[in-house]
Amino acid sequence: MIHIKNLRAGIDGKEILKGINLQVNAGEVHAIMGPNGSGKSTLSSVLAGRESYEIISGEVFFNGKDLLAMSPEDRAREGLFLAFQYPVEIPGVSNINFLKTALNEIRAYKGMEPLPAKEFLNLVKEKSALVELDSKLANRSVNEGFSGGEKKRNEIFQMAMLQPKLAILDETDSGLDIDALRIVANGVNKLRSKDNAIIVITHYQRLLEYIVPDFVHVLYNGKIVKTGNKNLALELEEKGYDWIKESEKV
Amino acid sequence: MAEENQILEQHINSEYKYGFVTNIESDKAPKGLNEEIIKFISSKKQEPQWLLEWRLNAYRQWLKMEEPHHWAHIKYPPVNYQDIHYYAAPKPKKELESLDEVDPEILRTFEKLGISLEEQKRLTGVKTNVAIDVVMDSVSVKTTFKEELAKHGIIFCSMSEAIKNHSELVKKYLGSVVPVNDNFFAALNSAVFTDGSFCYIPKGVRCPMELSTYFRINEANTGQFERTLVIADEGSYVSYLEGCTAPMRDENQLHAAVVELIALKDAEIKYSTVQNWYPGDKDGKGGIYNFVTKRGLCLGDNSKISWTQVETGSSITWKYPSCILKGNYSTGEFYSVAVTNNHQQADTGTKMIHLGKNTKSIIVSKGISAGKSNNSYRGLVKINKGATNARNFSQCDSLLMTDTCGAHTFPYIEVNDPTAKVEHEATTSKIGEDQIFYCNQRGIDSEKAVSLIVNGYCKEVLNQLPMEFAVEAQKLLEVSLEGSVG
Amino acid sequence: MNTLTEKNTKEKFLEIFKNYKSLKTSLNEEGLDALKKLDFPDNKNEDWKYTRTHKIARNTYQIIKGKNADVDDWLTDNSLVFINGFYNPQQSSANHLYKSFLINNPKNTAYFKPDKNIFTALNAGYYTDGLYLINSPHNHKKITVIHYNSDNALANIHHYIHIQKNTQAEIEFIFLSDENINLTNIVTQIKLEENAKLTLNILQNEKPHTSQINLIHVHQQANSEFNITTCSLGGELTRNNLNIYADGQNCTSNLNGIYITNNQQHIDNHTLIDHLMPNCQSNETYKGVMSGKSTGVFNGKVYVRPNAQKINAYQSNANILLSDDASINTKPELEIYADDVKCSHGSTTGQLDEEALFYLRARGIGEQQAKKILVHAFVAEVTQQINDESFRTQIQNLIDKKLSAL
Repeated sequence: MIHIKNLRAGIDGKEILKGINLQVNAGEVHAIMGPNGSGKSTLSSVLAGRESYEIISGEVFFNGKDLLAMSPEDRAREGLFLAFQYPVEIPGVSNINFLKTALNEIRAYKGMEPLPAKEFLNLVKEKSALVELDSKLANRSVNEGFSGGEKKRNEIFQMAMLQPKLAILDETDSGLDIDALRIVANGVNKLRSKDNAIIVITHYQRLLEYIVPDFVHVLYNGKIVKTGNKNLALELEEKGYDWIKESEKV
Repeated sequence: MAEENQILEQHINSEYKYGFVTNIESDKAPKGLNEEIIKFISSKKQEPQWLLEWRLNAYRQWLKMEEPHHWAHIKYPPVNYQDIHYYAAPKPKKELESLDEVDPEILRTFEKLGISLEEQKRLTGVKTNVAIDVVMDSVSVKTTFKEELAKHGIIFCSMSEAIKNHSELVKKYLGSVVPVNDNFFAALNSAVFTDGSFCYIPKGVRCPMELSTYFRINEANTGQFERTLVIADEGSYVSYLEGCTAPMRDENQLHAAVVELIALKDAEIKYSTVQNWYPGDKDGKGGIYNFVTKRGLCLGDNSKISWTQVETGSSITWKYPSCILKGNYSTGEFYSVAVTNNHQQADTGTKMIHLGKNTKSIIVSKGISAGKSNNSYRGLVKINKGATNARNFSQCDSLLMTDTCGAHTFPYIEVNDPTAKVEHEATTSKIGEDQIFYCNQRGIDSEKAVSLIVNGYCKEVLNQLPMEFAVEAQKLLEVSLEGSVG
Repeated sequence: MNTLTEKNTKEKFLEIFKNYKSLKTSLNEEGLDALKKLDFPDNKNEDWKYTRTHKIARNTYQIIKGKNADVDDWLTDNSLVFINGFYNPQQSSANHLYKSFLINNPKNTAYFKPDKNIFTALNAGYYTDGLYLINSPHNHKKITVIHYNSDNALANIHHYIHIQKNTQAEIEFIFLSDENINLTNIVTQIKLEENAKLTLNILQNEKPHTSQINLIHVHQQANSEFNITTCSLGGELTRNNLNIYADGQNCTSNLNGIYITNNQQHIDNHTLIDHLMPNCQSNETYKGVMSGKSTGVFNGKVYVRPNAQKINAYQSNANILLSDDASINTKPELEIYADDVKCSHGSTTGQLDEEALFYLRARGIGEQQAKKILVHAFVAEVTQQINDESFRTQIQNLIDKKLSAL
């Protein structure tokens, strides 16, 4: 699905990712954990194509294509979805119009006809139920006046609508109470299949109780320093990140 | 109602507290302006030839210029420029070597003003004090703390002295920010300025004390045309204060000063003004015409110039302390409180000219109008093409105290680069009756309530002032607005 | 310095009118009188500081009755068509509404003076036609007035619109042209009697060589409501002067505008809302999007006269620059002489929100499309206030088309 080879990247001349290697296959769920400032959000931004980041070296292949050469929209059209840590508010653009445009542009890219209005609305109904999102929110402007939890649910709702091959959830658990967390996790789990993959970026183990990963990677100082199964997350929870930092020093 | 009327009465009768004349023998030039007078001033001050020529050039340009009342929101009868003494120096008995030799009459004047030079002298050596240059009728009387400052290589002296002793610096920077032909009043000043303050902070020096100039117009029928030049060399910092007063007189007096600031790479200049020239009486008779050109040049990268002004005096104020942001990452700030009462007119604001990349400016203006006064904010924010990522935020608020005054906002915004982000907000409202009532209900009288509310309203600006000045400024606001709630 | 050459320019310009036969109405006389003292504004003139008219002054226009024009897309069953400043009954469907301003000489509305600038003086001195419209209390049907300019014409149009007590009307002004160098110099006097309501929607969509100087002068009496939305998309140089005099208590004035410019376009909106009486409110929102080498100008003045207490005046102007060579000059002014008021204005200039742009692209929406969506969202504050759905859709489609060409 995605193959990251020795990726180095930074911002404003400062190197943040110092050689990331990661392979994610269809059907897998990977968790990337790490302390603040380890480069977690930089990784998601670089993969989604945020232009303020500079690629220093390395390669990323997404379904065999050179991901780094693509525009952000083409990455999305190829099936890469980023659930933002801080979804932006876009006043004046209704959620529903926004989604319709996105969905139809992705369909057009694949050579498909636009989805008829009725089918689209049915899809909205079906998918918004998945994350228990109030259908009234659909007519409001994108993320405008949404609570923190509503914004995160809206991200997963969009993921459900766009059906990506690879979803990157960037700290989707931050700012969620336990109920909202469960709703979001349930939504994600329902979208899991053998054909798609998910990268969960998180600071805490909490979310991983609900979205159980196949692999857990620890990102520290711009590198993946440890990889294991779900038990690694528990170990981290118990010992804290200092344990990793210590072992790195040695 | 009765109580309010009483307060109003009080205010009407409250007099300008700084209005007394000092009897000092003075050395005056005859009235009028011509090339001979300019030569007289220049020779009186034993100036070098280049400066005389510079003055004459300014004078010749001035003759061709028009007074700028066609655009400013101010009205006044024409000034007779031939009916003014362009040189009035308090006549010193001999060269002054120490404070003890200053005319005791002058010292008493400053004591009455609350600026005790004696005290300054006593406190010599205390590090965090204020060094004062006193300018009376355009001539510098005495600069304190000179030796202390000299230890740091800081030059702080009268402009006359600077012309004598630091001629190269003066020649290099005089008129470099405000060219002689910049505007009518700047040209006039360039032709006839008699003194002012000069300050140079060397590379990497953080000036250990506040530098201050106190201006006073004393003589009748004189104009005050002082010239201030502040140069902050690379990596230096200085905080500079100026205060102004004048005696009560029936006729209008002209004050046309020029202030030039230059901040080199990584330097910062903070320039604060508390202006309390005589505002005229309750019928609008007399008062100072305050037509001042102040401009700072952020020449080097990362430099910063910050203007703070509290304007309560003058019958007419016409001034726009400005910043030219030439260095990349340079910052300009303008914080202003302008209070007008009775028949005062103020047309004040700033210009922020963004030339360098990643330049920033902030404008905070608070106008308070009372009586029959008119108070205008006029400002320009200009983003030149190529000044990428320029940022400006302006907030201009006006508070109205009576239904006979006016509050106006004229912001000019010119943006020629798409990466700029410019935001301007302005509000005009009445002082909150419910706020006053709330204070009354808690046992605070209306007078005090107004002062509390206004001080709160201006807090953002007053906070920018150095401590010594902030207290004075708050008192001034109180005095200026006494009984202004109708 | 330039007086001599400027005079020559003016005299040369006035040669256009050498065969013009004045009807010698009082307005004509006033205009011609004012014209003697006026000249094309130079850059020292504060009102025209950012808008140079020397190019207009040097063009050669003609007074010419036009042929039937290509305006079919805009015709309705209630439209009036003016071509080159002359009424065209063949293409108009609402001939019953047409009364000529030439024949009916209304008294000027309050505060209207033709001596404001050379263009109003020219208009008053030499107008060729215009509507004299007193609305019918029984017919609320929207009236569409189409102005088409062609063949290097100078169209001097003068309308008078009078909304009677306790009635309302909805009017639409459309401005179109051919590819020639044309000039529309239009004055519209509007009077709203007590408790009257008028909604005026304006679309300026001329071809790139047509310029327009447009004055809308509105006199509002007590309890009246005036809503205007000006959408400026086309033309070379467009100067809109909108002067509203709220001359009675409880007036409501809503002034909105959109200006979207590209290439060398120059669009200038000067608005004045003059609150003469207490207890009134005004709301103003103007939004501009500039690209290419174009320039936008906004000058909005809120004036509150002495004793006009309890005024709520709100004004906002927001601008987006889409290209390196585009520029905007904005000057939101407040001039307040009464104390019990709430007046505020805000002005912003910036780019499209990069974060929003990235968010849209990360969802698979192409960059051009994403920019379009954001521009539409930006102007939505104005477009959403247009109640007339067909007009709103037309505007949105035209904006879309214009943005596609960027």
